[in-house]
Amino acid sequence: MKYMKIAFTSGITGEGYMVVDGGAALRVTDLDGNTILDLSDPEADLPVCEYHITDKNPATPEWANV
Amino acid sequence: MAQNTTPIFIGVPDIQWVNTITAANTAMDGTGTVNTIFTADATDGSFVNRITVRAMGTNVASVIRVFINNGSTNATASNNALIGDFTLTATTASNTTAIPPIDIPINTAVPAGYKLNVTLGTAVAAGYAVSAQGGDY
Repeated sequence: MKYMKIAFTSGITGEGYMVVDGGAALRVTDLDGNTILDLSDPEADLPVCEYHITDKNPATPEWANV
Repeated sequence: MAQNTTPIFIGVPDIQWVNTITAANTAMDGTGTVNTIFTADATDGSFVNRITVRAMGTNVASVIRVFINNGSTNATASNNALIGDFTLTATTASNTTAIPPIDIPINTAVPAGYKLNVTLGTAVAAGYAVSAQGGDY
């Protein structure tokens, strides 16, 4: 599992992480690991937002080690 | 019934593109930040044959959405039409193995001032180069 730091530019305020596994983007979370976008579910009704990657290789967030 | 029986052809080839598309926009209606990859000729319009999508390196899986915009602000959803939604599988940068392209057939006459916009569903690292190939009437 890999975690990329992202910054939201609209729809949602602040920063978060995009959780990636094997090249697939699984979900987008806030900084505490709470899921904002479940990208693994094609039926999910995703909230409208925009974001971009700010750090491809950040330190693994603490919540990911639990 | 009046009808045009004489086919017309493009007068000038036209290829337009945007490189390094990386940001995500989850909107399905073409609003928000979009990448305009083609703007039709302002006088007579254009014809677009296809759109080519090329990964520029290592990217996570995503989707690319293609919208036709009527030339007015894309912030108004009714100015945009979603015409394509294509899966982008994860890619890995390589100098020994080619990354397959994705060709999206358009084959549509685009009225003067109309645009083709694209967005990505998830943020990607290396980005995509997206080009539209056609010509102006």
